Amino acid sequence: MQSAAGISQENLKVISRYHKTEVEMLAEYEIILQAKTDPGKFSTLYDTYYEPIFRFVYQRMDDKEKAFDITSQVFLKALTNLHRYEFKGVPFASWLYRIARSEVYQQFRQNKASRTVNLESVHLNQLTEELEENNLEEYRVKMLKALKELEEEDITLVEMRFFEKRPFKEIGEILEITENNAKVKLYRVLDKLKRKLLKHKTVPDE
Amino acid sequence: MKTFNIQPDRQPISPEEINARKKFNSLLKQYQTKVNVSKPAYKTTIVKGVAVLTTITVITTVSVWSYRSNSHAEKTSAQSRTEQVSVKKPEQVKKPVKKSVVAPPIKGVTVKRNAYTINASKGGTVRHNTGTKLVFPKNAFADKNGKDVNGDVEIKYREFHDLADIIVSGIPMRYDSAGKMYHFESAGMMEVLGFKGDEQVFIKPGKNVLVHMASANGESRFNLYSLDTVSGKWEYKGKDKVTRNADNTRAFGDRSENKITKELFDKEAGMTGVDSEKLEIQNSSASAAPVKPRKAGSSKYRFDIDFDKTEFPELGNFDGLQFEVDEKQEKFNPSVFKVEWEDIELLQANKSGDTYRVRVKKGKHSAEFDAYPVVEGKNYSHAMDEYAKKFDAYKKEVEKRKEKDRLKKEELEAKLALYKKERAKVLEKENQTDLAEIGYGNSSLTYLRVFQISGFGIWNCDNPLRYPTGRNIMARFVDEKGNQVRIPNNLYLVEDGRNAIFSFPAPAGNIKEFRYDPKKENMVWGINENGELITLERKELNAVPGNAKEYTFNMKKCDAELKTVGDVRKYFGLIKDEKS
Repeated sequence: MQSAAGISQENLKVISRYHKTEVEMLAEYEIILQAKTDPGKFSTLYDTYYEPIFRFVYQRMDDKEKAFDITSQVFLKALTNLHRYEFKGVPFASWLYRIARSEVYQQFRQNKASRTVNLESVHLNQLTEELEENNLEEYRVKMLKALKELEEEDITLVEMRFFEKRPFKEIGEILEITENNAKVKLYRVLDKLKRKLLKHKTVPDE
Repeated sequence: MKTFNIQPDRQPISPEEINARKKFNSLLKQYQTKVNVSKPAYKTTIVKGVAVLTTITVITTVSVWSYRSNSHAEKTSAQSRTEQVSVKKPEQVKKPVKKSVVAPPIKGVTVKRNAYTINASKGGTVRHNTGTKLVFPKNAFADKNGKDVNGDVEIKYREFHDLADIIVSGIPMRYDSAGKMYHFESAGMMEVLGFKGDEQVFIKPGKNVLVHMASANGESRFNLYSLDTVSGKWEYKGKDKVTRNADNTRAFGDRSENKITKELFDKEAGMTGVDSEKLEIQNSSASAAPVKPRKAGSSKYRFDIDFDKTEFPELGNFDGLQFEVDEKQEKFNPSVFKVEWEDIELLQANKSGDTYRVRVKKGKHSAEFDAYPVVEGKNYSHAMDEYAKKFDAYKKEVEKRKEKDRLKKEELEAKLALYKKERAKVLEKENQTDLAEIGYGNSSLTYLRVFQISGFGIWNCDNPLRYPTGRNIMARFVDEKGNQVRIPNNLYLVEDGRNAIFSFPAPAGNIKEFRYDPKKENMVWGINENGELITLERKELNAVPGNAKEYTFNMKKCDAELKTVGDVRKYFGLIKDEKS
């Protein structure tokens, strides 16, 4: 089932696990402190974040089994390095996402492979609307082409905002930039996309 | 530059499929393996030369028990019992002194120690002003190098009975039993330390101190635990026995100020002298049997050690003595014999004396395994002859001692009966003492909890409890300005009428599952990041609405001047009107 925003209910639930009130974040931090001395206590965090982290990893690759392997690696790394974790007023998930991101890229580097950007048509339509283009079908092919031409850093921002539906605050926390910086960067990418689309309007498809 | 592929409309994956792959136990195992592997172990040693250990000549110095040097008083306590470490060379003792977990939370307020003197050679009894007695056997003390201590030894003693005592002590009251966390309810706790001059002394292995500890609780559901003040872990030591404290009228006051007659004191001194002698009989009965020689050949790993025979007199008479590795032990890894080790130590391994622990070292790497002494050929026959002679003599000596002990016990029992009779007469007179004048707050120490201790440190008669039941809410704790309070250590919950402290880790001022019994009169307290005592007024807990899932509590900074345990007792409302 899709929500009005074009994202499945399941994904909404998963993403909502990231958002925490201050009290929830601090309560989570208590669990982390306990897990630092008693690794068994980490199970609560594992249960909460397993699915979001898997989806984050799998979003960026094709191989489902590999995605499960990497998810396991992410949690092993998190548990092993938990003693270094310091609470900085942001959800614990942002730390896990950063580990996941690093693991995914390491995997690509090792295998000399390129990463995948998975998207649903509905997301593509929303992106097209964002660029104030009306003829969705006409622009679908052109949009895919334009997206492929983006730099990795740029597509990451588009992916997080439009395909994963993350708020700017969260994007900033995962990419370790400010919320405002995330906004500015994304709008620059959208400008870039617009220019590319214009270029593709004038250049016939091969 | 294209560094990715775009894939539209992939088949979605269900949450069920994802969650079915969760395997936390497997993660935990991997974690434990990873953590263990990252520790240095002899298995990771890079071996350059290969030599079998059979002919290594090593000067072996053996540890009996040696102890870390500790200075007086506040370095304190149970850093003693856990300190049976071997020492080969003086430099090996240069370990950093680990910090004790006992940290009094309220600056300047502590339960004071009383000092008593005992003659180390004769033994004797410490009599505390609560009616507690500690009976020390003769020749019970050793210094940090394991040498006997003679002359006077100073015994420093204090005990903890109610919540105020426990709160100010800073002694952790959490107990981990097989991974489950419990909180102690105490029927009395004590700390006993020994000093010769400024140096801490220790109770020798095999010697036990008989304790009759005064207690306000006569129930039998309490166990005995001792605290390792370095790790903070309590160790279960068994059960105690409970008797009436005939001396309870002298609770918490200077003995000399109370109405105690010299006559009673003398009678009691006589009785405890008997206790001491009885205990000495028990301790001295355990005499070591000679070690039976073993014939060489049951293990393929055999080696010589040139050791100091004065340190191992039981091995001194064996000619051609060698050691064979006990291959059944799980720890043994044959690869240890492929390394040319630089150093080897022989340590006493088990009580029966037939197996020894061998420790080998090279640089930073070391390994340990068990080995037993063996002899072969003519040497074996000779050793067996010697053993038979020694064993015969040993049996005779044991019989002789048993008979001597029996007679001595009979004599002591008769003496004891006489003392008891006389003491009862004196007590009858003494019962006129005004209890309220010298009592301990609202509770009197009516009972004695009787047990033996094998070392100095902190001992506790406790009952482990889980968190209270009734309410379970997410709690947030704020200060007067509404700011989240930071609590570096735990936040504590205490209930009226129960001598228990429930600890909640809450460094950021939040407790996800704050459990308490709303039917009880509860108090919450902690020490904030500035070292200040903060408390929750009793009415605050009662004000939580019945259906609340979350609640913010306003902690109050203590504005009273707390200088004594009595002040703390009053501040927490544990006593209405105490003369302290």
